Amino acid sequence: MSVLRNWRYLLLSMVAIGALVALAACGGDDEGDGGGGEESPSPAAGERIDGGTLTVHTIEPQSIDPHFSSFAQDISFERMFWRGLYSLDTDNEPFPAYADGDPEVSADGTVFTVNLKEGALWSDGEPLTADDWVLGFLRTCNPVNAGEYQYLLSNLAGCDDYFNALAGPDGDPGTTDDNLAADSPEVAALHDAVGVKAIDDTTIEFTLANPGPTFQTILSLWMTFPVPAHLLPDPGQPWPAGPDAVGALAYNGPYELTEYVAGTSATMVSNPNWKAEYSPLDAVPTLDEIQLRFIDDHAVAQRAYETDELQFALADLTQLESTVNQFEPTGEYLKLVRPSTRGLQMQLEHPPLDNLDVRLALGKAIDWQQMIDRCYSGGHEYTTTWIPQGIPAGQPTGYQADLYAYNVAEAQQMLEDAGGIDRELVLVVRLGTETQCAGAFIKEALRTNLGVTANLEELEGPVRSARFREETFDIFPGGWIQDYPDPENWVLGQFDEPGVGLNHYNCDDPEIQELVADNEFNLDQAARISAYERINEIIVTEVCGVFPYYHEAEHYLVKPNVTGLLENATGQDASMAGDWAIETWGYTSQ
Amino acid sequence: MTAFIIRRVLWTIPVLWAIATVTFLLMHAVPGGPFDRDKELPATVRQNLERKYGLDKPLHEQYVQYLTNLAKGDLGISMRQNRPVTTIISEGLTVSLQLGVTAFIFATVFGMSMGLIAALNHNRPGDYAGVFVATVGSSMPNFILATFLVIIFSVQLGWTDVLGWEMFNPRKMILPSVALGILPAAYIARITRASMLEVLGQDYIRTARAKGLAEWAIILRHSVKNAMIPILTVLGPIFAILVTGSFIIETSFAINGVGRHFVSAISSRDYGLIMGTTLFFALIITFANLAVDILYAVVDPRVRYG
Repeated sequence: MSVLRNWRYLLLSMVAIGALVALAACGGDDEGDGGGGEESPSPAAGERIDGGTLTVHTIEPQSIDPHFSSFAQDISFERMFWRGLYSLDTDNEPFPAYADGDPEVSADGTVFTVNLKEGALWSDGEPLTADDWVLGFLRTCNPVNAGEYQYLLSNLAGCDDYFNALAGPDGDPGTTDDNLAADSPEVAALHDAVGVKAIDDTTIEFTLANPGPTFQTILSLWMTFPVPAHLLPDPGQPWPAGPDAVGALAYNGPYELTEYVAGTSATMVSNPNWKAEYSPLDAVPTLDEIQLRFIDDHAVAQRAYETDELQFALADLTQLESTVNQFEPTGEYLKLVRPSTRGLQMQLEHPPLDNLDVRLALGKAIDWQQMIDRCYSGGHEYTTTWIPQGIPAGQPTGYQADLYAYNVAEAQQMLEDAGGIDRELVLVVRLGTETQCAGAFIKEALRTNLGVTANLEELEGPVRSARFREETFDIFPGGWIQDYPDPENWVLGQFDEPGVGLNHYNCDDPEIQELVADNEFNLDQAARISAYERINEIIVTEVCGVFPYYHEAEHYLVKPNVTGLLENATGQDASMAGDWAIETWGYTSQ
Repeated sequence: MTAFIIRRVLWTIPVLWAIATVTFLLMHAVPGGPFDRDKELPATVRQNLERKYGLDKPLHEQYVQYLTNLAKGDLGISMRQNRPVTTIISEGLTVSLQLGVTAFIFATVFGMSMGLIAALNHNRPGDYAGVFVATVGSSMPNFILATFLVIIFSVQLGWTDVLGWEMFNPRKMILPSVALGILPAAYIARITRASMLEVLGQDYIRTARAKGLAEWAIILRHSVKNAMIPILTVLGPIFAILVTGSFIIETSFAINGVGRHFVSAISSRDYGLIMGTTLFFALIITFANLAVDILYAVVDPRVRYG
């Protein structure tokens, strides 16, 4: 065979591959109606325009049941479709969304009466009545539904008893005989005894076990959203999962779900029965459609943003520096510090970590800013406070800065004075590029600066969490993401009772316990906030289980002609910038 | 042959039972459960969840219940998605099957072409080019290749999309198929080259040439067919691997395939989905191997099954 003929084979193959790629180039583009505004008339530049489709990046929710959910992406999703009696405004104050003004509160602070705005309708045109709201609370308290945030309704009379009724012998029995059958008369009686009832179509009465200084704020949270009782009359009835929800649910939020492709996308259009008066920002949707694209990998989302397949994306932390350089000059980049604090948690029951000087020495021997820069591309905000600024009782990032300052000589001296550490420490971190980097950084800093050996255990998420629960760790990078903007959310279940809730570092401070006992139900807001300020001070100065080191930040990319996301980005965002105020999202003319 | 097929199909039942049992026991033996989260759940929430999904029962009862349901074709509920596992797998399978078959076609056509070109140009530029492409293809991790392809063809040139999969839409088909198929293509190219070189050196090829048979007839009728046995041996497992999805490629292009579910189910301890995807993969691999055995007999008349 001739060389010429063999080269022909080679050339033919190359031509075929080239043709394949060229074919792709000629293919139609059915994605990225990015210029949602392009079809609209062109008013003055920067002016809001009606219409268009916005395609945004998010993580797929695991559940869209507001009375069950616990993940940030779930809550973000649910607030697009449902809203509570109140919504928190930009100052984190409860705005009466479906409630007609503030609740009437009894003198002892245990009975809250909420009047509803007249004429409210579900997206399908059915009236939204007090019964729908009551059903929402009953679903959250229902043990069959097993809502993961039921505990935020613990102060609602009878809610814990009902929720605990089916728990086995190891559960907290509360005041009931637990381990009952779901369909038993006892459970039915507990259901009826939950302290929420519809007085009439527009009045709801809540009875609390104790005075509720934060109850109005709780009434804005997802686990209190209403249930379309005309579609789901039974509180134990399953909430339709993603793809099954289309056409099976009704909505009282600004948007309604029209399509859900599992693992891929969700599409929504404006709710025809939404009114501006339900929005803290007095807004109604202006977009034709919003499409949520479910993308796990932020790097993939960022590339799709660059090709205009997305108009909004969570930026990739691993390439943050180049992202900032590229997109900050065009105004497309935003960094938002979230109400979340991470810190080095230390097991106080494992000597010598029960010694404050040892804990301080460990914390001060590590250059946390350098760790943030190296392992998180400088993407998070270095801090020294547990409760962040912006939340009542919160403090700025430089709080107690001298006490927490990186100072190797001082750390060495403190450790020596405390008798040193005569054993190896168990350092548990989660598998992941950034977290493993942080673990290695901490280990190396302790070795270099203090001569302390830390055995680094890099574990999968569930294994790491189990180790935390079982308290088989010495040091453990962990933290907290806020559920609602009140200091009690940063303390209860974390510092008040050793071994309970998240307090597996066993912070056991009598003053904290006394302050919590005196103020958990204190209706004097100023005194309550002052108490939590003191608690934050104790947590920080006593390193009561945690040595705070950063507030988590998210990084976003938004096209210049998109409005509402960056403008309304606050600490309330669950998963996306401005996702608490999706009714404000829209396009402006360029 | 029919008896052979029936026997092999019946053998899948104990094979699947063994896999189900081992997976079930291992799954419950590994530390960390489906409700171990960063934000620890209160004890009563955890107990209600365990009750909801039947995890409050003794392990042997859970096992018997699982096998009973399995016999009825019920793979259970995904604890993370709250949806039937069969629904989740069938949704992902549709996409993974399309992507896998496309990648398989690409890998087979491209790989065999490269192998043939290399073999027919032994120790000449065509051979070197084929070996070079095969070496690069087999040594480059597909997540790196996928990233390169996206940056060049999507971000820089704008010829293809970054996100998603859509059958018969070249903007969404080509890059995932190439990225997924390049590694098996390289493997097929090397096998094809080696097998063809061996066949081309056989006496009957020399005889055919001496008789003046046309070169294309020698290659297509006498060489390729006889070189197919080792190629077919690898095509079965390759097909099974490709159609059961790839976590990396599905994540790189935000494609909702079954491969992504398999990995995420393990990391989140989604017991129902772990069991379902494992059994599904086992079933695919078992039948892919059976198909290869049948093809042996088709290609090589000397192979007979009693």
